[in-house]
Amino acid sequence: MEDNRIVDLYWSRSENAIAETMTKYGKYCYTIAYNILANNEDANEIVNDTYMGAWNSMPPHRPSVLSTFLGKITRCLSIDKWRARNTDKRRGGEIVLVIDELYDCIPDGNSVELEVETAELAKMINNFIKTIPLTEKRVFICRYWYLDSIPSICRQFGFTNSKVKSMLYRTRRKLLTYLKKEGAYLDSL
Amino acid sequence: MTAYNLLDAIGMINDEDILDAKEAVRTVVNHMTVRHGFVVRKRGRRTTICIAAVIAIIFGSFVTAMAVNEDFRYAVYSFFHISTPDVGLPEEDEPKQSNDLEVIYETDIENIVNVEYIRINGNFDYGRGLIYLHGEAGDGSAFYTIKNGQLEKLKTNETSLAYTWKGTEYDIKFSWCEEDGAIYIYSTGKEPANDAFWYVSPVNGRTDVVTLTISFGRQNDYSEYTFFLNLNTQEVTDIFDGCGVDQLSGITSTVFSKDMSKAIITCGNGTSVYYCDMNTKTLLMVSEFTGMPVNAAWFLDDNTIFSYTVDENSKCTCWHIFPSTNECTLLFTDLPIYSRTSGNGIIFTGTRYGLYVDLDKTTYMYDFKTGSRAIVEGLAYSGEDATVIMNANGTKMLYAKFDYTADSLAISQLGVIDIEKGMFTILERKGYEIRDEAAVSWFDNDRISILATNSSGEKYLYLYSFTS
Repeated sequence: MEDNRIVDLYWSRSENAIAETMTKYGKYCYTIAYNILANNEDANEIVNDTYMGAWNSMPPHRPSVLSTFLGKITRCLSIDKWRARNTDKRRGGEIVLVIDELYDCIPDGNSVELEVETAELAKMINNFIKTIPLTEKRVFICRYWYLDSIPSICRQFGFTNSKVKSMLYRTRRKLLTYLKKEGAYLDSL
Repeated sequence: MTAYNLLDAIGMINDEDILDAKEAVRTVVNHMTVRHGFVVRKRGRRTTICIAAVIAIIFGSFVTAMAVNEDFRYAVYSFFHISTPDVGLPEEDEPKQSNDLEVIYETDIENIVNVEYIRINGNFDYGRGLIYLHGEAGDGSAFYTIKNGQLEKLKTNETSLAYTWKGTEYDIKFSWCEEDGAIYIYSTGKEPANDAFWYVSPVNGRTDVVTLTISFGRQNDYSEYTFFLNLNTQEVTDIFDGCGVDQLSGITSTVFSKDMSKAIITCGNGTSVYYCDMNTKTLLMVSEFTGMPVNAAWFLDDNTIFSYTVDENSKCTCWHIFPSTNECTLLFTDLPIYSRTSGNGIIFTGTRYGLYVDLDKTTYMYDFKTGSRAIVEGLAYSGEDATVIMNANGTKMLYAKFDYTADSLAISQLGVIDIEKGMFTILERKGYEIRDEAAVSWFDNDRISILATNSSGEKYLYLYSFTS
């Protein structure tokens, strides 16, 4: 079924909206949730919560791209659930590695962090990804938006493990430089 | 600010970029199926990625219970290390530009490797031994062949037609030429109105027809279907007429036998693999032969299929299937799939041959048709910094080792495993950082190409011929 028809079903409060979403995007949402949570039961729960979130959001929302609308709900719920876990249960899943990698984009002791609103930071990141080569951008998004594992990215792009790792490393260093330049951090005296 | 803030902010990346990241992957997977076609490069590294992905997507491995032919157990591919390195041509030594497409440098290394540099001004694509140079505003686009250091322009034909299937109209337009009894094709392969992809591929031994594969749906709904297209009449005919293939959903790959009378059709990225005999109008799941689900299958010859399944421990079971007699023979069990973590296992290439890396890095060439293997002397393969790519006719395997301290591909070693001659020849490269190297692949069945760009954006193809 076409996405706009599915959105219409949500707007007309038809429960078929959930069934159609499940058929078309169930696997997509599950993959995102599982990448983060690494637990089948939790991932399924998040996918169900995603349907509920979509049901509660439409109306008033009428997303132009249903897949990413759902994906963003799934991603957000999954990260929240992961955060809510006890520290000792925050094992597995790509998120542990991803968080660790993203520390590369945080300056070491020579800079002062500024409080930047998430929305402002998001704007900077959207601008940043326009400045990097296309393949690098795609690999970056697969890793840090979809939280795909490195081996999965290797398979998808036909790159070697080292290639993906070095590409991501370079991108993170570029992001750090970009964020500094854009004023997300100040160099201390 | 913390890494968590960054993670949240990344979650707000624009929709089109999020979609594009996965769409690009899907395109790569789709193009991988065009094994005998003129592989079109849309962007710098895409073709190499596609070709490399053919190898990378089906990494496998291999160990116990192998029905290896004893005669071949101790066979060896001899090793030849060329003592003189290939040294990149410095930019200052380049001749001045005289043509849009020109051979600017040629050298022989120890009479074993011939190297040619082709400098190209403008947009181009390449593959199967030809270069397709795009003209201004689409005019004057043409195919070129390169023989003995000479570039020759070929007669280029255009075909365009509108074809409607299941309510979607496809605006098919492509360039092609005929050379040495084969058809070569260049097409952009995308229907801009509805994002429906299509591509055209040559048919082995035919100059009157090509295959036209059209796709519909996106992401999980993606499916494709292949037709014959007559180049003279532009008539489109259903290859699978009466076979029931049109009832399958989620087709992601269709691979034909050499005689085009049979096909292996993969649905849902490997969840269902079918065998179709178009002469007898038979459509069967490959699992009906093996008795268990399979992950992949391909033709070893017109009458033999190789198939395997991978278990939860990343070990595979492999079979020979002979559909004409309904026979299925177990070939290997507990064969580990190669992984970079373990550094051990089988690397499938989608052809008759595969590379097996033992725990001690001893590397073997496996022949899946005979069940034999031979040590490749001088090769201790590591997927961490190297790749292998089989040529289109399955007679030679390219080996490239990368220098990951450099920004570009930076190929520090280039080699060829010549299966017919039983020899592995390797060439050291120096000066690979002079120009950014973006792609390595087979240019044709005998020549390896490296795509490079200089700091001014000028593009080069380096062609390497190994005469082991």
